[in-house]
Order: sequence, then structure tokens, then C-alpha cells
Amino acid sequence: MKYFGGCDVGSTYTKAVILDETGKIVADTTIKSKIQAEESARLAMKDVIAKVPELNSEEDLAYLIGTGYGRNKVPFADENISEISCHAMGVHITNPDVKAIIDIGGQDVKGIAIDKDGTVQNFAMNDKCAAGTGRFFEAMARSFEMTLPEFSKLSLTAKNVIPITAQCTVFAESEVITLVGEGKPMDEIAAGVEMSIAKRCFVMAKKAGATDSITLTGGCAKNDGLKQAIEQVLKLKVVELKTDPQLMGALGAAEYARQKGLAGAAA
Amino acid sequence: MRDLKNLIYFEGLLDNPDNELVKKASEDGRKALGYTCFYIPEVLLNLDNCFSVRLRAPNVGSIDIATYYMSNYTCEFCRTILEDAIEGGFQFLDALAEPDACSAMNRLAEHFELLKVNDKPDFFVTHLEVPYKIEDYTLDMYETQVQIHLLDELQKRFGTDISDASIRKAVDEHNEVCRIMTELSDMRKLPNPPITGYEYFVINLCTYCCPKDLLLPKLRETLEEVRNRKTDPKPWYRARVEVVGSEIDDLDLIKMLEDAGAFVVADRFCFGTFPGRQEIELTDDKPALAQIIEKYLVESECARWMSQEKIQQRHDTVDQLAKDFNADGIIYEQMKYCDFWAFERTMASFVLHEEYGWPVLSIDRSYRVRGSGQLRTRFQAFVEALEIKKIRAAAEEGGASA
Amino acid sequence: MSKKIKYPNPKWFKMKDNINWQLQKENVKEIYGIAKDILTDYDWGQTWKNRVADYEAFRDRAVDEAKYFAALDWAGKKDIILNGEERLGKLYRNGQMAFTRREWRGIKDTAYDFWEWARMWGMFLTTFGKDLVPALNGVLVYRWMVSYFCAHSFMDKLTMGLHGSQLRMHHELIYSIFRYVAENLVILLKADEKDGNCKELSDKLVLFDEMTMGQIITGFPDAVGVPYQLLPVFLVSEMDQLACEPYIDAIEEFGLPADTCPVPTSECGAVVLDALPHCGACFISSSMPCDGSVMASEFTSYRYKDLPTYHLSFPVRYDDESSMNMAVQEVRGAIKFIEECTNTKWSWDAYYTCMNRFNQETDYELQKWEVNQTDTPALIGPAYELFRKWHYEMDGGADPRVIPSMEKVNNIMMKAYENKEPAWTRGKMKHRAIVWSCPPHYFSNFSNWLANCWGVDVVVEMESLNFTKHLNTTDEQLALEDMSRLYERMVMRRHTNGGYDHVLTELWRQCEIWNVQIVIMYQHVACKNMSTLQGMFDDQARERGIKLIWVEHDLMDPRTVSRKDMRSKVNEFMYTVMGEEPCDPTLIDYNDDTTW
Repeated sequence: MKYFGGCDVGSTYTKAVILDETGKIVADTTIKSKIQAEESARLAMKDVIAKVPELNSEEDLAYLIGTGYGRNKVPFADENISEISCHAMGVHITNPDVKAIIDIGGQDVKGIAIDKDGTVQNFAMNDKCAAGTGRFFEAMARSFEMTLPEFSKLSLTAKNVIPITAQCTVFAESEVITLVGEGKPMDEIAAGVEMSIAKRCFVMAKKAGATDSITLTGGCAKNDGLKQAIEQVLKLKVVELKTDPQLMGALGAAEYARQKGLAGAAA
Repeated sequence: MRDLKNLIYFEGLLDNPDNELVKKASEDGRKALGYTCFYIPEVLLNLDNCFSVRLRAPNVGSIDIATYYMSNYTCEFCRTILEDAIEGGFQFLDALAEPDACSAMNRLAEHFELLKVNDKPDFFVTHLEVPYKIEDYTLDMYETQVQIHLLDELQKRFGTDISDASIRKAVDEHNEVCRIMTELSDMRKLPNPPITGYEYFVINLCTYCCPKDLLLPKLRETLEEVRNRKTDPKPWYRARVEVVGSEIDDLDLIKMLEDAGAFVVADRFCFGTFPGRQEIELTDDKPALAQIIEKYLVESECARWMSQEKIQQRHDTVDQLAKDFNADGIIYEQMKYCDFWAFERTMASFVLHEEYGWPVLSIDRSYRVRGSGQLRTRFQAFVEALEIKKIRAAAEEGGASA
Repeated sequence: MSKKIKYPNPKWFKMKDNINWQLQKENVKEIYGIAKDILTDYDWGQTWKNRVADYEAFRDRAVDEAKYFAALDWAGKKDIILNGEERLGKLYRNGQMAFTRREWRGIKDTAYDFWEWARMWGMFLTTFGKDLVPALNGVLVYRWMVSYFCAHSFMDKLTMGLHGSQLRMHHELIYSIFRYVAENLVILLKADEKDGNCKELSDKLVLFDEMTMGQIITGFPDAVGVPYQLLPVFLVSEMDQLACEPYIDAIEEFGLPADTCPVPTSECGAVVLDALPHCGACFISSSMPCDGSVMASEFTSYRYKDLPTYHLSFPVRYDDESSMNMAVQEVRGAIKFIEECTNTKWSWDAYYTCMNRFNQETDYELQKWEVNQTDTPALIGPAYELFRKWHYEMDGGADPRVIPSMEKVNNIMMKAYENKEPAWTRGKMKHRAIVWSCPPHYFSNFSNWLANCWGVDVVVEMESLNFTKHLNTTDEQLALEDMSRLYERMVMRRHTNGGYDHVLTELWRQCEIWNVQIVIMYQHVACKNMSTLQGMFDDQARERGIKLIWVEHDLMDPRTVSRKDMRSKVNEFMYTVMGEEPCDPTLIDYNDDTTW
């Protein structure tokens, strides 16, 4: 049996997936990223390979593809593919009915429209500003002195939403602190934060033309408060993925590796 | 001082553009005509069965959807209005009248059309060409524009009476509001005034956002109250400032200034008193329309006027108001990403300081300033500087006289 | 027998200079002080290290190129010798301003290219020779004059990767533009109080605000018009991407926010730095093409209070003919103002003669459009785009020498079209594209890169698609109306003013006419007029199945969005959405942050 690997080196987490020839996930892992992308990739690969008894090292993989912002730092990778293409492919093989993705990473937000074959039809991203990203969430939760899951849970209890006007992470943080200082209900402020991120995500999705049959990927996809806010803004239900949405980039990379590896062997 | 009886009522009218007076007028079958710019003569939107509503969007959160349509680096006022429009906040309007004065405002109006943000079947947007300088032929051109694109449209679509007599009637009502506001405004000249800058701003803003006839009873009542209001023994402020620049409809901004100890004595910004709340004196020898057009264009202080005499007029007006209202300093402000005011503010704040000798604070700001610690600090520092200047000047005067 | 008209009138160059030598002495003293400071602070050790690095880079490149050439088979070698090199990215080197060397275009084209290089030098020398002292002294008075030393590099940049007919046409067009620039530089510097100080010339000199069209001055044979800010600001930023940074910094320090359009921003910065010549009988300022430019003239007027200014302002909603009278009155006012300031008379004959010529030029332009709309576009590329803007805006039929140039180009173009000669050789004709919105000055050969790297061929750009109706040359009232219509539809203004139909719906009309499916959407971050329609472009393109490649830029400030950032947007799109591989992989990733 041949195995194929995908390694997604993100700014906050590094993810790796191994597929067998049939496309079944045989192992996966998620670790916190190190400062050096190469080290993150090495640790993630070591971790995931240890989960497959037939594999001893990366060299035993028939094909390995790197993706994410550190995609060209993955040791032993046969090639690298942009995370946009990988997310599209990952989602496509998980659920072919999904036509659009909002990917909320640690430092960027992407909207991706998927073609029928899992390739990218169009995409949009905000790569110069942290508004609406995982970092934005972290900053907001920090000003509440909470963890991300606690923050998300709190927002779900709100009956009203206090709008946050600032778009910049730093100014939004100061606005939130002011609102807290004014004694406004914490849950309503939290819901306001979620709503402002949801709107930002919606914009990316709209820019890419991705507003139909949509799913969330990336670390923030697990945030129920955000999901609810996005559903409210989009006025449609977000499709749930069977596989961990944070793994979609690595899964897509592994699927590309599988297709390319098998095609190469056949040739 | 005791709180003004109607202040909370007035503040309530500013919570939402579709306030109780607007609702009442609409229920009476009158047509709500939205506008956002001084170039549209407000009084002409108050003819017969119509009333004017200057657009604001006080309740909008983040403006991402409007940013998707209009991008990041464009006027926040226009984007916020658009966001509100997309969210359905301007369904109550029957028409929108926009001058093609700046690209942001023009595009805002175009998005009203393109995105069909108003479901009323007879809702329409009308665009007017406006001049860059004052000449006989530019006044003629603008009169024609107002006639064709505004008055004729109102008559055609809403059956509005646009006769000279109807215009003169609207001017009468407009003038009563102006008289009340001028009397209240002039009280700001006093060393210990019976009205604060914030209170004045709230009342004045209401006059732009509500049907005038429905607001007038409360205005009359408030004028009487202020006339008889007992002031505290000492004035509450630390420095007197004139605020100059692009549009302000944010209560928090004026509140923030006054919290820092700055009494806004003169409001030379859009939605302010100068210009906008001066009586229109009509003569019988010329049609009312021509006189109104001339008054609005000649008195306009918009930074879009590019001719030298208008540039000079802008500087002189600011200087004269500061003198008349005994200001200690001038605050030049501009809405972030406004091209006209960006250039004007830069040059005028330099000229007013270097040539006219005024202390000047020059800022650009968001549409809503809530929570802006940076701005609060800048206001406070400016007030402190003005205060110390005053103390030193008084000491020097004392020393000289001694 | 009719006398041959000499253009520009030789008398302008013959007028007597009155250089203030005391002023020049002080200037030289200041320069000496600056030079001394530089030399004192100079890190000679680092300079030596840099030179060693230069040598090593040169050596490595030479070895790499030799190895590459040696590894080719005979056919490959022959191809390079005869048809030129393919790896154009190798001409750039990180941290350098100039290319590593001139491009090898094959024997015949390289020889021709060299001839054009020499011809341009010859033209510069003869033109500057018309009044050498102020022209050369300009280099000591103004920093921006130094940027003109990279004019040849600019030429190389615009013709990169071009061969055969394309190369010949491009050179002819570039030559015309630079002849105009050189002549106007001499006139401007001669009249400048800080340099030539020729009062006699200055009294007849009419200065035009940024991008204000020059047609009106053609009716004044006894006056001379110069695009005042074009030479010190606008054009240098096209030649040297770093040229405007000091202007932008100066005005932002003065208090202007950073979000205004870099064109008026740089012009105001030039005022703050005193980089604009002091001369002229009057200044024609304008409200064109957009909001940003309206108030910029306030700075010039404040700096030179002795310069009478006329604010030429046309209706924004120009389709509305009810405002035509105002436009005509504005033109009449401008004519009267120029007459009074320059003490000259307006001549209908002179105006009609030039406008007949301009009409002829428009016909040539339409011929190019017709050819480019076919499956075998024959004249595309940055020099064509630049020429269109220049002859439409600046020259405006004034120079009789433009007609033979256009005729020559037309002949080459028609022949190339008949022979089905591809505009770009070596498989670079893959996709037809339109460029929309204003192009970045600091990446003036972006369309050249698009073709060389990805085979995306820009068949037309928005700024070329302006007024094409023949101007009336028989009736005074109708002629003024036509002039107003022309001015109202100047470059940019034609699209950005008067409602979304002119820019949004117009794009879809043009996509159909030019048969394109890809639009390079320049996203000039400070251009409010264009960016306020951003979402509608996206929405409507999607409905029509047209692909928009958004490329951000900041017009004259490469620090906001670098050339490399711009390229990466296209690279990402081409790899990810189009699933394609580049025609020239050496052009994918290179650093040209300091390259002219």
C-alpha cells in the first residue's frame, strides 16, 4: 500500500494528514506552530508518521505536498501548492456538494469558490489586516480575560448585539475595553465582536462569489458563536463538515499528493 | 444648570433617522426626501407635501458590506449610510436628492439605485450637477438643474406644488426655525452661556433631521426655557473652540469635546449653524428660486469651491466667527478619506495659524468616534494648551496694566 | 508656395536669458555643502563591499548565462542568436537601479534598438543645445531633472521583449513623446526665475495644471503652453519609481493625510519642497479629473501669489446637455483670461488648423482600435498606451511632426496585420485582456510584464478609450461646444465622472467590443472615484462570467504596494484560478524595488 502526505504549515497551527491509495484518512495531527516553519513541519510530520505503523519516515511516503504560509519549508516535500487550492480540494472530497468556503486562519480570512472538480473558481483574501482573523479573536478574548471557547460560549447567550464600529484590531480592542468600562453587558459585546467578524467573512466570501452552499474551514470554524453570526449575516445555513474543518488544507494537500503520486506511478 | 426639559426628547429623535416625527409625517401621507449635502437647498425639500431628512446612520455597527461595495479608503460617512441602507434603514424615504459634489456621495446615491435598497415603487434618486465657482452662468446652470432634476420631478411624481408662492411659504417656516436657532446660537457668545455646546448641537441636528412644522412647538418651548434658564455662578468650560470642517452628526464627538472642557461656541461644519441656519430674506422683484439658489451657493463654505475668492471667503468666515463668538482656538476636522477637506484642512489650518494667529488643532476622524482614546487625548491636550495661553495672556495683561 | 511651419516656434528658444548668477552661486554653494556632508558621512568600507558584491553578481550572472547557453542544443543557440533571449527576469538584480545589461533581441533587432538608443541621445543633445545653459543648470537647481537621465532606461523598460514591427512602432512613439518632453523642459527651465529667468518668454508662457488638456493653447500662436506639473512630477514618476517619494513625505509631514491620490499629493509636496519652477504669465488650474485634484492648486497659488490663476471647471455630469452653456462660458472665460495675461490674441484659424490635425490623429487612433479588435492585434504594449494619452491630452494636434510619425506607425501596423505578425512572439499571445482604472506610474510597463510572463495581452486600456468624435472646425459656437465635450471626456474623467454607466457598464460594453474575458482591474487604493464601485464590478463581472484580476497599487508610491506585490496578485490568480504555467518563469519572482 502506498501512502500520501499533506502538511499545512499555518501561522498558528501546523496540520498533517496521510491518505492511503483509496483516499482514506489513515492518520492526522494538529500541533501548535513554532517560530520556524521548517521545525513546525518536521514535528507535525514526525507526529503523523508515528501513527502509521508501515511508515518510518517522510521518505516512505509516495508523494508529499506542503501547503500553508510555510509551504515551501516542508522537508522532503515533492512540491508545494497554495492553501487556497488545498482547502478547495479538501472540502470537495469531504463534501462535493459544498460550493464555497470561508477559511478563517490565524492571520488571514479567505473566501473561496469551488468548481465542480474541486479546483478554485475564484478567491479573495485579506492578507494585510488582521481584522476578522483568528488573531483578532484572540485579541478580543484577551480583553475579556477569557479563552476562545469561553468567549464563543458567552456570545451565544446574548439577547441583543452591541455593534462594534472599529475595523482595526487595535482600535476594536480599545472600543471593546471602553464598552466594558461603560458597563455594557459582556455577552452583548461578545456577540457584537462575533457579528463584526462574520461581516468581514461574508465580504471575503462575496468578493470571491462564494455565497452558495457554504462551509467554514480553519481553526475558527469550530467557534459556534461565529458560525451562528455568519448564518445570520448570510441568511443561510452553514454546511457542517464530517471531518475536522481545521484539517481541510492538509487533507487537500494529501489528496493532491495522492492524485499526482498515482498519476506519476501510472506514467 | 438644570437639565433642559426636552433634551432627552431631542436626543431620542436622533436615535434613529426614522424617528417619531418622521413616522408621523409619513403616516400623514407626506413624502420624506433624503439628502446628505448642503448643495441641495434644504428649504426646497420642504415644499407643500414634502419634508426633508438629512441622512445619518447612528446605529450601524461595522461597515463591512458597504466596504465591500465602496472599498476601505473612502468616506466613512457615505459607507455608513450605505450600510444602513442595505440593512433596510432608509425604507421610509420617498426620494433621495444628491448633488454630484464629491465622488463618494455620488456613488452612495448610485448604490441606492443599483442595490435597490428602497422597496417603495415610486422611490427615486435624483442627481444634480453643481458648480465649482460662482459666476452668473454657474448660478443659472444650478437654477436649471434644481428646476429640472428636483422641482419638476417632485411635481411630476408627487404632485407637489412648486409654485413661487409655495416656495415662499416653505421659506417662512424655514425662517422661523432659523430665527430660533440664531437666538440660541447667539447665546453661545456669552461668557457664561445658558446653553452648552452639546445641547445646542443636539437641538440643531434635530432641525435637520425632522419635519420642521412638527418640531417647531418643542423648539419654541426650549427657546423660552433657555431664555429664562439660570446659569451656574461660574462657566463650566475651560476653553472656547470653533469647530470647522466636514460633516458632523455624531453626538459622541461633541460630548467628547465638552468632556475635555471645550465649549463648542461656533459650528462651521456641515449639519452646523454656519451656513444653514441663517434666515432667507426674499424680495419680491425676483423669483424666490433664483434668490434661494444664490443664497445657498454664495454662503456655502464647502471645500469643493476651488476659486480663489471662495478660498479666501472660507478663511475669513472662520476667522470672523471665531472673533464673534470669542473663541480661544479653532479645531479643523475632516471625515477620514474626504479629499476636499483633506487638502483644505491642511492648508487652512496652516493659514489660520500662521497668518490669522489662531491656535489650531487639525484632525481627521472616523464617522463615529466612540471609544477613540487617541482623539480624547488630543482634545484634552488642546484645551490645556488654550487654557494656559489664556492664563499667560491674562498675566501679561495684568503685568502690563500694573 | 506655403512656408513650412517650424514647431515649436524657434523664437521661444532664441529669446534672451537673464540668469541670476548670484542665485546660481548660492545654489552651487548649497550643493557643495550637501556633497561635502555626503562624502564625510560616506561609508567607504561599505561602498567597497558593495562593489565587490556587484562584481560577484556580475560574474555569477555571466557564468549562469554562459552555462545556460552552452547547455542548449544548436537549434536553441541559433534561436537565441537570431530571435533574442527568453529569460528576461535575469535582466534585474536586487538593489540596483539599472538593468544588468541591455536586452539581446537577436542580431537585427538589437542593431535596430541600438540605433534608436543613439537617435534618442542625438535628439536630446540637439534639443537641449537650443539653450544649453539653463537646460543643464536645471540639473543643479532641481532634483527631478536627474531622473531624466534614466530616460533611456525607461525606453528599454517599455520595449522589453519586443521584436520586429512592434519594436519599430514602439520606438517611433517613444521618440515623439520624448521630443515633446525635451522641448518643453528647455522652455520651462529657460523661463524659470530660478534658472534661465527669460522674462520675455515667461510673459508668453501659460502653465497648465495636471492633466489639463492642451488643445486650448493651440488657438494662441503667440503664446506657449507647458504642462506645468507633468515634467517635474507626473512623468518622472513613470520613469523613476522612487522620484515622488520625497514629495509625498514632505506634504504628509505638512499635514496632508496619506489617503489622497498621489498625483495632487506629489504636486503639493513639490510646492512644499520648492521643486516647481517659478515662471509663467498665468496658470490654468482645473477640477479634473477627480476630487483630489480640485484643491491641489490652492497650494501652488499660495506659493506663487504673483501667478494669476484661472480655474477651468467643467460639469461633472457631462451627459446632461443642460449644463453645456456653463462649459462653453468656462472656455470663453479661459480664452479671455489667457489673452489678458499673455497680451496675445486668440486665433480661430490657428485653432482650426490644429484641430483638423487632431481629428486626423483620432482617425489613426481608431484604425489601431479596429485592428486590435480583430484576432490579430498588431499594436499593443506600454508605449502605445502612453502615446495615446500624450497625443490626446498634451500635444492635442499642436505639433505637425506627429502626423508623419502616426502615418509611419500606421503603415507598419497595417503591414504587420496583413502578414498576421503576432504582437508578441514566442507564444506570448495567450489571453486577450483589458486594463481598467488608472495604471500605476511606478510600474509603467506592467502590461509588458503581463505579456512576457503570462501571455496576457492587453489589447486596450481604459485611459485610451476617450472622445473620438471629430471636433468642429467651421463654426465658432459649435467648436467651443466640441472643445468642452472633449475636455469633459479627458483621460480618467471620461470614465470616473458623470455616473457609473461611464465606467461600470462601459467596461462590459468594451469587453464585448474587444472580445476579452480577462480584465486587469487596477485597484488604485487612493482613487475614490473608482474604488467606490469595487463591489459592483465584482458582482456584475460574476454575472457575466468575466474574470477580474484585482491588482492593488498606489499610483506613485511603491512603498504602499510594491511592483513585486502587484505581480504576485497576478501570479497567484494565474496559478490558482487559471491553472497555468508562466511563459517566462524568470519573471515570476525577482526584486525590483529600487529599479528605475
